[in-house]
Order: sequence, then C-alpha cells, then structure tokens
Amino acid sequence: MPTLTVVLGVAVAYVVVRERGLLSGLVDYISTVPIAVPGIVFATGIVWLYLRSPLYGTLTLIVVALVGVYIPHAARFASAGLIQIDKSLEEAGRMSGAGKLRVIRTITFPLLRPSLMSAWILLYVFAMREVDEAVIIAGPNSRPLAVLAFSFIEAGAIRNSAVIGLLLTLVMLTGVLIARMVFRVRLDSSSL
Amino acid sequence: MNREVIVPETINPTSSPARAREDRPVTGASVVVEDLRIKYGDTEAVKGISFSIAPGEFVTLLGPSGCGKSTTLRCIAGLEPPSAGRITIDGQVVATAQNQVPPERRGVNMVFQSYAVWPHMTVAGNVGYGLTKMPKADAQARVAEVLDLVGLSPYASRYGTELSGGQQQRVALARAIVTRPKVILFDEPLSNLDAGLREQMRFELLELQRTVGVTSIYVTHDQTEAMSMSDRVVLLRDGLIEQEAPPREIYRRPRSRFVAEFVGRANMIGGTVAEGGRTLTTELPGVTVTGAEGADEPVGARSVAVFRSEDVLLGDAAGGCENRWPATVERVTFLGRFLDVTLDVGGTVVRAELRADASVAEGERTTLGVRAADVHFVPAAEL
Repeated sequence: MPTLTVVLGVAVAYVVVRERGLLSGLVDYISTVPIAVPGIVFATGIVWLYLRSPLYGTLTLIVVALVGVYIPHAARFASAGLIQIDKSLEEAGRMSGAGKLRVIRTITFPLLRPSLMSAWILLYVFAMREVDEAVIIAGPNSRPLAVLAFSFIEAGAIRNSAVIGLLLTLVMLTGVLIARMVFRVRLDSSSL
Repeated sequence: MNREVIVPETINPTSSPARAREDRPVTGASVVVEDLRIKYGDTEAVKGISFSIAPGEFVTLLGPSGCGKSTTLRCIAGLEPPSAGRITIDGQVVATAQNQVPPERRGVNMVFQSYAVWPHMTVAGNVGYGLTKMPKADAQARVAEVLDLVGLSPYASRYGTELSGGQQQRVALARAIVTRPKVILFDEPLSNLDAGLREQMRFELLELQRTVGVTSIYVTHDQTEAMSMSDRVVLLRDGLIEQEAPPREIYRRPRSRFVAEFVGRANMIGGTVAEGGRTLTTELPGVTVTGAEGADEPVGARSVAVFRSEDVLLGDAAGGCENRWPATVERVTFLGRFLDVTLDVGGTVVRAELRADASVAEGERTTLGVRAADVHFVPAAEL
C-alpha cells in the first residue's frame, strides 16, 4: 500500500509541479480533496461504492481506501522533493537526447529517491496504525491489527488488546529501524 | 586545471572574423530564426526577432537581463514554445506556434548556467548519458576522447558534486559536445565562475569551439565575453534586436546610444548637424565635433557624437587631432593598467583612459583631442 501511494503521489506531484495549465490545477485540486473529508465519511463512501463488488470485505478494499486517503501526503512529499530538483537537471537530459520518460526514470527519480523513501516509511507507519477508515471497511476476514486491537477494547478484553498493541508497535518499530539503518532515511521535518 | 591556455588567433582584434573562419573546421548546421515571438501569459518576452546563423559560426546574443536572450535560446533548444514565428535548424523547421519538434530530436545540445551536472552520476556517466544508441565500447571510447579534450580524464570516476565549479562546467561542456550536436547552445555558461577562472574558461571554450567547429549560440550579458568570442553579436533590448554585427563593428559603429553605452565606455556629446553633414555644432562653448563619416541625420537635425574613452588624447598628443577642445582635468584614478581620467569640457563630462605613466594632474587645464576617425554619430533619439 505505501508503494502504490508513493508512486501515485509522485505522478500527481510531477504533473502539479512540472506541467503547466489546466490539467495541473485540476490534478492538484482533486488530489488534495481527501484531506478535507473526515475518515469516517470517506470510508463510508468507499463501502457504499464497493458494496456490490467482489472487493467488499477484502483487504484489497482497505488498501484502495488507504491509498485514496494518503495520496495527498505522498504528493506533498514528492512535490517538496521535486521543487528542490533544479529544472535544468532534467532539461540537460532532454538536451542529451533522452525522451521525457527516460529523463524521469534516470534523472528525476534517482534524485527524488531520498524524499520518496521517507514518504514510504511514513505512509507505512500511518497505514499500520490507521483506524478511522479501516474500522468501517474491515470485514471478518480482513482486519488490520489496529482494528483488531480496537475491537478487543470495545469488547472489554483489554489484555488481548494490549498484546495486539505491543505486536503492532514492534512491527512498526522494525519498519522504521530498517528504514533508518538500511535506506538511511531521516524522518525529520526537513523531509516533510 | 594546469592546462596550457592557448589564446586562439581569432580573438586577436586585428584579424577579421571572416578570414579567421576559413581555416577552421565546420561541422555545425545553419540556424534561421524568423519573426520569433515568445509570450508568457500577458507579457511578451520576445517581440518578433529574426536572424540567421551560418554553419560553424559563433554568434552571441547579448543584452541586459530581461531582454529576451535566454528565452530565445531556450526556444531554439525546444524548452520553450514560441507564440509566433519560425525556427529552422539545418533546413528543417523545428518550431512554429503550432508545432514543435521535441528538444531531444533537434540535434542540439546546451550548456546551462547552473552547469546541471547530475550529482548521482560519475563524470563519465554524465558525459556518456547521451550515447545510448551506440555500442558500449564505442561510447566509452568517445567519452574518454572528449574527457581528454576538456582535460578531465583523471576525474572520470568522480561524482559531479566532488568537483569545483570550473571542473563542473567542463563536464557540462564535455556532455554537450559528446553527442556531436549540430548546434551548441550556451546559456551564460561562465557567469557562475569567479573572474580569473572565467577568463581562462573563455579561452578554453573558444579553443574547443574552434577545434570542433560546431555552430554555437552563446547567451551572455557580459560584453567582454561577447566581444572576445563571437563572429557576430546580436544585441537585444526589450525583446527586439537593437543591432546585429561583428564585434568590431558593434564597438566602432554602434547604431544607437543604447548600443554605444552597453558595449564599452562611451563619451557622448549631442549637437546639431552642420553644413557638410560631418560636423556637429554643440551648445558647449568652443566645441564642435567632426567625424570621418557623416551623420545619418539631415543638416540642422539633432545627432549625438560617440567616441571611446581610450581614443581621447590630452595635451601635446592632441596636436594632430581634428577635434581639439579646451578641458579641465577633474579627477585622475590610477587603475594599474591605465589611468581613468575625468575631464570637464565646457560643462560636460568626458572620460579618458591614458597610459599609466602619463603625466596629468587634477585641476590642470589642457587640450583634449579626438581624431575624426574615432568619432561616430548615432541618432539623438531616446536612450
């Protein structure tokens, strides 16, 4: 889910930052809207939309919803990174005979990688602990840990909930540590 | 960095650019710009300019910031669409308001002001980036050859960010010539370098251009660069061409007061064209200005006489001059190579450059002389 969101976020950011005109304005607007919609409302909408589809009650649907919710965050990360990449670096690629796609693949993307890594980690953490949307969409066979913990609390089983909570913390901690050690991602405000 | 700098014959001001061009290789293509207009929203940055460049020629677009020179260059590169007009490279139309050939298919390459060296690639990686269509071994050989040409062979495996400004600029240069473009575009490539390095790079860049012989369009606001490197200078002002001529002509025969002031230091004295057309009667007491060539204005009309500060002679040296005026020395500044002298001629300021060992004293009354051959007339119209 974080991967998909980051990819879409980059696409949105690229159009918004690098292209001019109506399209860029429209994409910017549409991709920011989810921020203004409460999670519960957003999730209810998703449930209604997919009620009759085979996706209903599956993990895939949760992924779809979370991608929708977090695209604005991913796009912010990506555009912050893109703005820092001097346009002439990309233009120099065109001048050397590379088409737009090759430039994006061999110049823009590698230069953007650090900001995308931090975006990925942050989205991974957000998605793991997300309850707002997931609690509405989750079915009996598709319950993220966070939702499971929530339902245990609701049922009064505090101890079960604590175990899940601990497990969840461990999973997230591992993810963040791996990111720090292996990818050397810094999760400070400068990358936001 | 320790490369020997060979000053090419062609920057010697006494050799004519046309003659110098014959004995250098020509590999470039022609470029024709017709009635080019470029609009950003409501403002028109380029307001209809036309010029053409012969294969192998080195042409400079010169002008103050905001005159549209960079925009024009970017439009030739394909990084900016024109709003009207036509650009033709090597006989092929590459840009009109309706259709633009994408930049990567124009056969041009560009050196950017910011160098634009990719920090995530090595020097060799940067230079070899544009050589994807040839076998790897050939590409490597070509990269090695070009790196040798710019003197960067020892740095091939370094990363872009580990290099100094001058070295990064050489990488950018190597990257631009390695693809054997038909035209190289230079967008103020030396303005981020410090003064000493800039001068050295100017010679190197010119030498390289002469070796490769590729058509070059060079954008700068620095008149020294324009004067010393170009076969021809296109001087732009507010999106229009003010004058287009070889450097010597731009300097000796500016077409307007703007050109005269922008290129070199010019003294100007306004007056009325007298009988014969070659003399101006001025409001300054005892001052008439005679030129070797006449003014374009009719007798009785206003005109402005232009002469360069290095052509001003003082005292005995003024003896043989057609123009001799009484003057008072107001200020003398020692500038090492020469003396910068400010004089008062009937209430107007004239500046002179004299040999550093000349004997002039502030407050001294003397005779100021200018040869008629060094006087040129420009229209009296607004600056």
